Amino acid sequence: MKLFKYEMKKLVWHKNRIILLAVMFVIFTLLGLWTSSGTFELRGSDGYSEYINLVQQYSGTLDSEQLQESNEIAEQAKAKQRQGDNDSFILYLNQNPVVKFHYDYANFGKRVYEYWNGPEYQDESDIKGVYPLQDKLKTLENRQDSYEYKYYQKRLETELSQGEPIFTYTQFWNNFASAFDISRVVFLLLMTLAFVIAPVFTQEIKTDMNSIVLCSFKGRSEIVTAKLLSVCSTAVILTALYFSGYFIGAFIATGNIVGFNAPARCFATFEGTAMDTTVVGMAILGVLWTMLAAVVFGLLICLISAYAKNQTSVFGLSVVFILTFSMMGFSPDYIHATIWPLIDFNFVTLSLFGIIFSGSTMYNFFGMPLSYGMSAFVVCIVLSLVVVFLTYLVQKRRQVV
Amino acid sequence: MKLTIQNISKNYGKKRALNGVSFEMENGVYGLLGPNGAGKSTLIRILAGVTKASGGEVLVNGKNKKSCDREFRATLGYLPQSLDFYPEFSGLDYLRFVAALKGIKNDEVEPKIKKLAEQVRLTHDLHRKCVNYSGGMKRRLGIAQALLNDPEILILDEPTAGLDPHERIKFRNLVSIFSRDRTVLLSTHIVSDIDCIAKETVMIKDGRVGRMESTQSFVDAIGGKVWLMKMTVDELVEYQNDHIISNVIPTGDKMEVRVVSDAKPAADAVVAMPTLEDAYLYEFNAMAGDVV
Repeated sequence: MKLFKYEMKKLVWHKNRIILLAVMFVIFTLLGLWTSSGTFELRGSDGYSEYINLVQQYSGTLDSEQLQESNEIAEQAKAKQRQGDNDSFILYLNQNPVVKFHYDYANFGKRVYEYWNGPEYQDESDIKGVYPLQDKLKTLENRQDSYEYKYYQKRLETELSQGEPIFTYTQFWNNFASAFDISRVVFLLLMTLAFVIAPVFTQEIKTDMNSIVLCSFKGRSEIVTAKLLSVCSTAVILTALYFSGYFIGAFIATGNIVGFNAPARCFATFEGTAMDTTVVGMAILGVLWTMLAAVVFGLLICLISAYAKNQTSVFGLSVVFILTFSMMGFSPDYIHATIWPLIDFNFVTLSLFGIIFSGSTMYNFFGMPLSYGMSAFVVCIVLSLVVVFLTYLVQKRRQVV
Repeated sequence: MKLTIQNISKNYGKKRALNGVSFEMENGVYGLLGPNGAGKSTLIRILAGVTKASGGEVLVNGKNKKSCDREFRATLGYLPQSLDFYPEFSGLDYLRFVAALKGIKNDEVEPKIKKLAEQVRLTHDLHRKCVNYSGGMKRRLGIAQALLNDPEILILDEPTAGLDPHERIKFRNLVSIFSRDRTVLLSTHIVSDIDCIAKETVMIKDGRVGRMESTQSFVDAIGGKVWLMKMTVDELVEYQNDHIISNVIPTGDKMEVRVVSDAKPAADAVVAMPTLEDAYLYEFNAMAGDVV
C-alpha cells in the first residue's frame, strides 16, 4: 500500500500532473458545453415552451395521427432547407422548436416502423426488424440446432423484450452520448492517458533508480503490483474526470437531466441496443465500461513502458497503436472479414462503448451466440491478464546494462 | 555473512567485461580498485543482482545466490555509480519510498531516517526537493538509502564521487563503524578512500582480478621499490615514457620525482616509504605487462 502511494505520487499526485489534469477537466467541460450548444440555441428560441409541451403531450407510444401531421411538416421543412447543408438545417430546427418537434417525431415514427419491418434496405446477412426476423426463423425451422437459428431466435427475443420504441424528451442524454464518440474517446481520453502513464517504468531508467529498485526486497514483484495499481487508478481517475467534465458541460447547456428513466433505446446512438435498461443505466454502464477499457489500455501502456527506455518512445508507440487501431475501424468489409478479431477487439475499439453496446452484434462462441459486449468483456479480462503477466515477467528479468 | 564469487564472467556482445573473476569476502571492508573500464561496476552490478553474469556463480554462505535471491536482497544495501532522484520527491519522501521498497517495518522507518539523516548531515534538508540538492548532498542521500535496512552486505560504487574532503572523511568513518560485523565492498579509483579502512583490496583490470590481499600487504610488497630522484623538466618529459611516476614536486629549478621501479632508477635515487597509490600503479603496470 505504501509503494502504491509513492507510485501515485510519481505518476499523478504532484503539481505538474495535477495542473495538467485540471486543464484537461476544463477542456472536457468546455467540450461538453460546445457539443450541447445546439440545445443552448433551442432553449433561447421563441416557441421553446411550446416544443416542451408538445414533447410532453406526445411522450409514449406512437400516435399515428400525430405522425401523419409531423411527417408532412418535416417534409416541408426539409424541402425548404434542401439547398443548405446539414449544419444549417440543424440550426434551422433549433431556431424553430415546433418544427424540430415534428421532425423528431417523424424520425421516431421511422424508428417504430423499422422496429417492426426492418430498414428500407435489408442486409440479408444480418436481418433486422421483428417481422423479418420471424420470417427468417420460419425458413430455418428445420435447422433449429444451427448457430444461425439460435442467433436469430436470440435477436427476436431481445427485440420483443425491448418492445416498440417510445417517444420521450432526452435532450441532455443525447448531448451526453457524444462523450462516447470515437474521436473524443481516442484523442482526449486515450492520448492523455498514454501521456500520463508513459513514464511509469521509464522514469526508473531516467532517474537511474532502476538499480536501487531492482536490488531491493520488493523491487521485483511488489513494485510491479504497486505500479499496475497506480496505472489502473490513474485510468479510472482520468476517465472519471472526462465524463464528469463532459456531464457538467452538457448540463450547463441543457439545464436538466430529464429522461434519465426512459428506456435505453431512447438514448441517442443506442437506439438499437440489446441492453434492457434505462437511459441513466446505460450512461452509468458506459462510464464503467470506458473505465474498464481505459484500465486495459493503461495496462498496455504500462507494459510498453516496462520494455522501453524513455517516455517519448512509449508515448510515440502508444500514439501509433491508437491511430492504427482507430483507422482499422474504417476498413472495408473484405478486410474486416479477414482480420475481424483485430478490428473488433483491439485496445481502441474496446474503449468505444458506443460501438460495442449500440447494436446487437453477436459472435459465434462454440455454436452459441455471444453478444459483442460479453465477448468484449472476456477479451478485456484476457488481455489484462496477459499484459499483467508479461509486465511481472519483464521486471523479474530486467537487468541494468 | 560469507560471499563467494566463483569464476564470474560477463560478455557484452563480443566484448568480455569480466573474465573468470573469483574471490571471497567476509566481514570487513573490501576495496575494489581498478582503472576506468576495468569491469568494477559490472562486477558490482552482478553482486547487487541487477545484472546477470554470463558465467560463474555467486554463493551466499555457500548457497547459490539465485536460490535465495529474495532473502539476499533483504540483506543488501547498494549505492550505484550514478544516481538521480524523482523530481517530485523530497529527501524525506525518497527515503520513505526506499524504506517501503526494502520492506522496513513501519515503526522503524522514521527513527532510522532521522538517525541516518544526522549521520549524513541532511537533517535540515530532508524536506527540500532532492533534485535541488548539490552533487555532494545527492551522494550523501544515496549513502543514506543504502544504509536504511541495516544491510549485512553493503556494496558501494564510487561512493565518494562529488564529496568534499571533509565529507569523504566523514563517509570513511561511517563505513568503518558500520563494517564491524558486516561486509562492505567499496569500488573506487580514489585510492585514499580505501587506504585507511579496507581490510583487503581487490585489484581488477581488463575484467580479471589481479591480486586480493590486505591493503598493508600491497604496500609492503613494494617496499624498496619506490624512489625519489631529481631531474630537469626536459629529462622528466623523456623519462616518464617508460617509467612509473607516482608524483612530481617542483623544487627550485629541478623536479623531485617519485618513481616506482624494481631496480634503482638512478645513482642518486633514494628509497621512499611506499603508499597504496604506489602499489596501485605498480600492480596495474605489472598486470598490463608494462616495464616496471
